[in-house]
Amino acid sequence: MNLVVEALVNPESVKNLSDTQWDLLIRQARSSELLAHLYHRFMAEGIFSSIPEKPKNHLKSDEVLATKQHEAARWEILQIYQALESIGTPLLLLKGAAYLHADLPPAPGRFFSDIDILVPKTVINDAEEKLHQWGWLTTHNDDYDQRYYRKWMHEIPPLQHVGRHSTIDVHHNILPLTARLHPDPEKMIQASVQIDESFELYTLCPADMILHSATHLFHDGELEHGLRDLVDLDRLLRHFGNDASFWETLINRANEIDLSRPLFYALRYTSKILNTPIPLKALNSKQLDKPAYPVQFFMDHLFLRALAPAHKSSNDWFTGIARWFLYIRSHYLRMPLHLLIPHLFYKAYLRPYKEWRENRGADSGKKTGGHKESESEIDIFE
Amino acid sequence: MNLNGASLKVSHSAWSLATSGEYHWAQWNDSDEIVLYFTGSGDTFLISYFGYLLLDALKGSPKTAEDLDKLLSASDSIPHDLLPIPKEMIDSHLFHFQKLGLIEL
Amino acid sequence: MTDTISALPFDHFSGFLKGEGIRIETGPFITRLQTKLTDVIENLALLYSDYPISTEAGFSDFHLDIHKPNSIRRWIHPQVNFTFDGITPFKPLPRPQAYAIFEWGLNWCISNYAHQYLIIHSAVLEKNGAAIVLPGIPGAGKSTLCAGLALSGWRLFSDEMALIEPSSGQLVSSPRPISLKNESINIIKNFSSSAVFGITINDTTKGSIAHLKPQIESIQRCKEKTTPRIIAFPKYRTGARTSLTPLTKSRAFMTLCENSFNYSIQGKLGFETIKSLISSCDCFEFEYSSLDEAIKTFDTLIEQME
Repeated sequence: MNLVVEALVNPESVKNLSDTQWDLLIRQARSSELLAHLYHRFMAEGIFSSIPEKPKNHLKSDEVLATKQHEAARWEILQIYQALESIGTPLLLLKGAAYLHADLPPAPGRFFSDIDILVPKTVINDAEEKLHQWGWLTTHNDDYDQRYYRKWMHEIPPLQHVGRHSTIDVHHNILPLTARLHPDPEKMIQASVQIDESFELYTLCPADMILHSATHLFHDGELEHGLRDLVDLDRLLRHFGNDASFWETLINRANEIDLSRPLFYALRYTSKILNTPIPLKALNSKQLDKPAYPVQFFMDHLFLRALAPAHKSSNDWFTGIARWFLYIRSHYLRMPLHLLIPHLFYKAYLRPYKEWRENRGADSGKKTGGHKESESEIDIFE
Repeated sequence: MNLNGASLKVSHSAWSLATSGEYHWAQWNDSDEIVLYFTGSGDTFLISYFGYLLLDALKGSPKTAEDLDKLLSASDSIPHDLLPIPKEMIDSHLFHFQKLGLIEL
Repeated sequence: MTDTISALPFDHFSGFLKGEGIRIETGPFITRLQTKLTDVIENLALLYSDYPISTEAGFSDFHLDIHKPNSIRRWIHPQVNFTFDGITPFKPLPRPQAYAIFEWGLNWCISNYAHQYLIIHSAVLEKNGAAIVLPGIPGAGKSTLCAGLALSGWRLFSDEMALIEPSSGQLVSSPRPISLKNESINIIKNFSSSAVFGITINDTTKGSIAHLKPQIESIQRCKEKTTPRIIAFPKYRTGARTSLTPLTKSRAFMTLCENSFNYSIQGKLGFETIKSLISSCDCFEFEYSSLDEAIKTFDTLIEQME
């Protein structure tokens, strides 16, 4: 039973929920990171006050958290801006940070753990150095990770601030260099739009923003928050799609920057799952890069499961396999097979072994006073 | 960090309150320490009376350390036997306020 | 939720916990608990006998499961795991600490998922319609003082968390068994012959702990909110004379922030909530070594309030 999707598609429907259904809805929404989003949806629809007290508290509690995260993110954006000001390239925000700063419909109640920025590859070393001076240090001290990121990835290893622990992902492209698709970041930077009157803050133009989000979800294997990301797409498509000429622009742009396939999936699954009003003309457009019918049939089976809430109540026997398959697929799309196999092997086997060895080293260090507390131990209560 | 080097630089510049957040104060008559919540960084500070006077004086137009010195010395907020205000006192306050994101150039 | 555990035959109670779970109401929270571990079941039957429960499905704030992890280790070093709706937020603990992981885990749920309240790490008790807030870092003697007051006619709101409703500034009651450590267990056993304790759990990171059953009146009246009037930061020191020293409100503000679980995420509303809390309270630092004198001090203080 997928109550979150039902609530997203038709918020009014929650008026008839029993206590037991509310119980399930709140749990599914929490595991999809959509509680605070639903809070805002119910508010906008004017039905929040009619919700029973107990579920209301959970929506409210999550909203407090989301608001705090947004306040902190605004501050971080300002700090990043100050750090990078002297480089002389405009600061381009991506994903959550962009929705927030540009005040776009996915923003209210949306959680995001990192701030994603895009800079031209030519200044990436400068940017990293400036951020370093302002206290953002690399998080991956493992040599293999550093090499892997710098050689193959579309971003440098995430940077974390020493004092505030906020994380930045500095991208120079939107897909890894080894990926099957080759969007040109130069074109995307050229088309970017300014989103702040007083600061040189930019984000991708509307079509590119949607294409980036679609690529991230359907090509990059980031399915952990699959439903949440699909909601982003739904909100963006509804918002920009108000302008009837937008659909043609979007499809043309997708072909221009080699992202037509992810766009096809985005249009297919937002309309299938979230009832996003997409003109038939766009859905059936000859310009869209559709997979062959059997592939489509197979992908439906995978994505319709992987995009359900990550809660045990919406899993069936095939869900685990579907997620696993999509994970492998995303790696396959990211890099050629001869690179993929060593990488997965390293991830699955070598790294745990290395960590085990290092922990063993740390354990023996403990006796001489080098004690390190794990965050995950219960230690806050008497 | 070399405080003297930094203060040299700051004493000639005009300061203003940060535009990135609002200032909320809590003050009671049982002490002269004042609580400040700054929405920009989301931080809460316990501020001395002197620090409060400085921030209060920065409302309105930007001011240099020299302007602040003149303004505070001429007001009745500081007991006369504590005058003149040591220059380092103003500079070090400004230096720390800037690091906390409370004031900007 | 009208039944109490005491109204349910033990076999039924135990059967539900092992199956679909039991929903227990502690003030504003309903917890659905599932467990097959008999020490947990028996301790619950004793300590939670007066709480409203339900065996029917319905809305629960927290879905908890206390169980043995499914790993090979279980044969060598038996352990216990806590899950919150399928999430395992902590490392497993040694098996004998199963009951403790339930109480700690429930505290963790409240401090992470109840941001409709400003939450301060603090004991809260009420008498004559006025509440005292006793915030404290672990080891400050907060729980001992809390247990002593709860056994001397004060109504227990919580021994761990002050829940403040930002809209009204009122304290919300969520009484639960009081967790006592090491010497405090015997101090309270000697203090009152009516004190009922659950099992003693040894060798936790906090030493030995045991839980004191709350008085039934605190549970029955848990829907009654109250106004905070006194904030006292307690400190137990061997041989100390009882002393109540006024604390400036701005200092008290900062110390409360440090003791809050979610002040930093409440933003401006959190600031306003603590500001009005401090304004409506007298603030003190309180040092003691004699529990009797400490209780007398707070009895006198509360009687002097209008």
